[in-house]
Amino acid sequence: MDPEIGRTAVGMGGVMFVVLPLLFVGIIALGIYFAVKAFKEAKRRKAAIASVVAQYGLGYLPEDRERTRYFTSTPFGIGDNRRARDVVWGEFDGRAFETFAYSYETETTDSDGNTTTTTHRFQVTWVPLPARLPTLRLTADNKLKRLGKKLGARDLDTESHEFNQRWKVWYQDERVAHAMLTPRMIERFLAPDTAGRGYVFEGNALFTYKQGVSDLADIREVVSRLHDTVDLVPKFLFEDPVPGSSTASV
Amino acid sequence: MEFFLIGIGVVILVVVLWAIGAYNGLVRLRNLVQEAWHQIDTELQRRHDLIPNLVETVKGYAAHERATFEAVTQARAAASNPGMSPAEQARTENVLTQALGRLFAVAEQYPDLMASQNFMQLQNELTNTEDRVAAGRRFYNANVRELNTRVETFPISIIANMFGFTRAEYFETEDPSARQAPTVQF
Repeated sequence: MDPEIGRTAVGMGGVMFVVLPLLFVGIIALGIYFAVKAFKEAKRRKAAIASVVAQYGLGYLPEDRERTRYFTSTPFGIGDNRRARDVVWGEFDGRAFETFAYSYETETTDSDGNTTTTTHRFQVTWVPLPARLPTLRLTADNKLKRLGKKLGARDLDTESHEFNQRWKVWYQDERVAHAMLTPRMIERFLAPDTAGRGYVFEGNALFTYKQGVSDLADIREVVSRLHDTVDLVPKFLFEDPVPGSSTASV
Repeated sequence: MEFFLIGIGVVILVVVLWAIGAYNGLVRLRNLVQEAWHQIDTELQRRHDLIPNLVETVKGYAAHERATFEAVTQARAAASNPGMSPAEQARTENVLTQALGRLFAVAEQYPDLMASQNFMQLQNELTNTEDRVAAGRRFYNANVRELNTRVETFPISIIANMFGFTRAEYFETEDPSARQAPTVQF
C-alpha cells in the first residue's frame, strides 16, 4: 500500500469521524429550532384569532370537517385529509362572513419509491350571495396558464387587455360570466389589493383564498372587499337568470 | 412508392379533417354571434317598451317640457326601426340614451316625481334592462371578436374566404354601469 494513500485515508476517516456527528447534531438542532418556531407562531396566531373573535363578538370553532365540503372549486375537492380549522364567523356592518384555515395533503413518490407528504394550507373567507350563480373562478394568471390559453384552455377574454393578462377566468356559463364582469367589476379586480388571491363565485357564496394561514389581522379588509365585489354584481342576475343561460348546478 | 402514397393519403386526410373542424368552428361561432344579437334585440325591445310609460309619468309632473318628451319619443321611434345593423342600432341607442339622460335631468327638478313609487319602479326596470343590454353586448362583442380573429387568421382565413365567412360588426354602446359613480364610504 502506498503510504501516501494510507495517510490520506486515515485523514479522511478522522474528518468524517468529527464531521458526521456534528452534521447529525446540527440537523437535530435545526429541526428543534424550526419546531419551536412553528409552535410559537401557532400559539401567537391562536392568541391573535382569539383577540379578533373577542373584539368583534364573533363565533369560533376549533375544527369542523363539514366546512371542507362547502365548496368544490379549487382549492377544495383535491388531496386527502382535508381539514377546516379555526372557523370564525359573524357579521361586519350587519353583513355575514365566515373564514377558516383550510388544508389538504398530497403525496408524491420519487424514483426510489420514497413517498413525501405535502400539506397545502389556505385561508378561505366567504360571504353569502343573495341568490345562486353559476361558478366563476378568477385566479392570478401566469406563464403556464397563458400557454394553456394558447392551446385552447377554457378562459374568458374581456374588453380589458390588462385584466386578461392579470386574471385567468374559468366559467360555468359564458353569458353569466360576461354579465358579471362589468367595467366596474373589472376595475375592481385591477386594484392592487386583489392581488395574490383567488376569487370564486360558487353557488350562493363568493369566497376568496390565499396560500398560508392568517392570524385574521386583515379580516375586516378582506370581508369588506368581498362585499364590495358582491355589490358590483348586476342585480338582475340575482332576480332572474340570464335568458339562454344554463341553470347554476353547483 | 407505396409508403409515399400512404404518406400523401395521410396528409390529405389530416388536411380534410382540419378543414372540416375549422369550417364547423366558424359555423358555430357565426350562429353564436347571431343568437347573441337576437338576445340583445329582445332586451332593447324591452327597453323601448318601458319608455312610453316613463314619458307619461314624467309628463304628469312636468307637462310643459314638451321638447324633451318629443326628443325621447323620436329617438325611441328611430331606435325601434327593425332590420338595422349592429353599428346603426348602436348609434340610435346612443341617441336614445342621451335623450333619456335629459328626461331624467328634468325629472330631478321635481322631488314629488322622484319620490313617486311608479317612477322609481320604472327607473329601476330601465336600469335593470340597460344592465341586461350591457351584459348581452359584452357577450356578443366577445363572440364577434373571436369570429373576426378566426376569419382573419391564417390558415383558417382560407376556409373563411372559401365559404363566405366575413367579419361581424361590433355593437358599441355606452355601458350604463361604467357611467355610475362609485360609492365612497368614509
